[in-house]
Amino acid sequence: MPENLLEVNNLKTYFFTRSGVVKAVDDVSFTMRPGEALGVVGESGSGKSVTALSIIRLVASPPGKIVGGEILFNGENILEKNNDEMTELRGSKISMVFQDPMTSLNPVFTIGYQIAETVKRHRKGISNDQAWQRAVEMLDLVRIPDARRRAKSYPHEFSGGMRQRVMIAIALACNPQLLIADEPTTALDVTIQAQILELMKGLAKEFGTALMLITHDLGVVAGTCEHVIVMYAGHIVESAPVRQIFQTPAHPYTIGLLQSIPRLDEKRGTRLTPIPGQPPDLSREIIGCPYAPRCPRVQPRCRQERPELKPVGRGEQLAACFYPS
Amino acid sequence: MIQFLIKRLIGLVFVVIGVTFITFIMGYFAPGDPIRTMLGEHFSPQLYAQLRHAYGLDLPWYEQYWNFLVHLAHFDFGYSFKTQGRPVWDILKDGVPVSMELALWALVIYLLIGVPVGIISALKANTWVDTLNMGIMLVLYAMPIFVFCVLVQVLIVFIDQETGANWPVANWGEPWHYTWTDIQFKLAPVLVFGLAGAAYFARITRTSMLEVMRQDYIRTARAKGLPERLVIYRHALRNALIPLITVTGVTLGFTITGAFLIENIFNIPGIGTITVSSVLDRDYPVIQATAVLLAIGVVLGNLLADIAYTLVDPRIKLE
Repeated sequence: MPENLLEVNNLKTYFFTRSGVVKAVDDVSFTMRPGEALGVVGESGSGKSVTALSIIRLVASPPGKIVGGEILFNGENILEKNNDEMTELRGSKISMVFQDPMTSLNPVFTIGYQIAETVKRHRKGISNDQAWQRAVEMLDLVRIPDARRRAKSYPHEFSGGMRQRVMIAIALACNPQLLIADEPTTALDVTIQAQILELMKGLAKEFGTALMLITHDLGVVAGTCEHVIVMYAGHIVESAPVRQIFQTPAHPYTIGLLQSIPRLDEKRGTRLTPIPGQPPDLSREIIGCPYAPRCPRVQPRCRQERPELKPVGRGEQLAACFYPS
Repeated sequence: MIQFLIKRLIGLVFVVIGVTFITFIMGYFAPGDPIRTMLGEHFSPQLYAQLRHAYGLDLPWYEQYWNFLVHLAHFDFGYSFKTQGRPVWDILKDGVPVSMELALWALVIYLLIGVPVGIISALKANTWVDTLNMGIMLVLYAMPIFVFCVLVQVLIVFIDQETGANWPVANWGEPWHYTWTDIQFKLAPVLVFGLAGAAYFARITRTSMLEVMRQDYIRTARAKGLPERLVIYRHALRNALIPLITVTGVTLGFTITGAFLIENIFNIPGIGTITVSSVLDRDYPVIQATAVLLAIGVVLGNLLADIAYTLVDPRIKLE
């Protein structure tokens, strides 16, 4: 048994569009241990969702294509698996929860059916009744009240938060080793967000499932994850244990992100510091550090050479910056 | 459900009144005189006046219309002008089964050819398969139906001459009978009608299927590890067929009145042929009656579609 559950090495996922090649994920490497909770943070278009979809091999193709690197799951390269092997893996060993619970469930099937369907797909020789029992059990676990009756309801009879619970139930129904949650709370209102995160974290722990939580909200990561990856323009710019990200951020982009979050312990009237400018156009060749045009500490070298992800001398913390703080 | 049906049937009454009113007014004010058409060149003014009175045509239009409605309420469509006193229903009753037979078989072809072609095209979108399919379907759909009919007839005649076969190019056989002779009569018009409609169904199915395949729940189905076959036939198809129900319902509604052009060109004794000849003869009672049949057909077709919706889509409730 390899030590790492997931090992992504030099992953490159490009989109071949009419206006050029968009390098959505460009040379991304990271690892996850079994049961670990990893946060992937970045703004829209930073490549975090595409990284996730690459791992489960659901990048829309065309136009998307994984053009390089390897993804080792339990030591086996996912990119070398054929379609049948991939469908065996999806939903059983690796599952995914998506951003918008309102549209992620099929409107014409009952909730119970949609959970039981996954169970039936992956557990050989299970009867319809047993699969349905498992569905009810899962609904109970994600704290849908009156699960036995509600299993017979259709998605439109559920609120957004409830539907996301159902999505989590589907994802965890077969005890996966890895759960990828792509902005699972973005479409929900704030009070529900906390409940859903709490639930997901708790169940992942209970099931021994590793959790990859993708979000643009550092606050979400703080309470949920052990390790954080910060992505920018298709690259990982910083990778560190969650405590270090908040206490001693090394990359100027991470610092920028943290400064743009409102804090309770700040003096009233203090203005937030936004990051000026826009992320770069990924269909153009980027020379040097992709963050250089927006970086307050930019040096001439940053515009010529791309910094590698390197240790900054504080344990596990890595940053892709020539002048980390 | 019962309440819904009652509401719909009350609605039907108003639709029929509206449709008959419009056809009545148009017929009344259209140039031409049915009695003159009936009598020909030479007639006595006395006979003319007598006939006008017999058919109630000397009354003011609102009284004529009122009389028509009263008769209609007793399911009495009145008497034909053209055939001198034959009840309208007597003329129509032989046409209805013929037209329905033609249209129902055509509908079967729409569904059996149009829908699968649409699905295949959507799954192979923007490949040569899709382009070829949609190209053929576009030609079938765009070609005027009378051109299509005549092309098929010419083809049949050509084959007859070459092979010495004696395949008919017109007429219908016994309705709902399928001996070899009946099939020979029915095959060509059914195919023409069916293929033209199948082209339309194929295009709708393709669009709808492509739309559904982009939905988030399809991605969810894939993320669950379902094989592509189940993703398509279980998760996508059922959603993609929902818009087709409307189209099928409306098509079903038109089956009673048949296909005007196809019936005429193939000389099929259905409602379509009867309608066209009654318009040419200014046989108003027959025109009115076919309009009523069409209205009833469309309303019932839509009603069936609404009921079918609730069976397929749990989000829709009849109210």
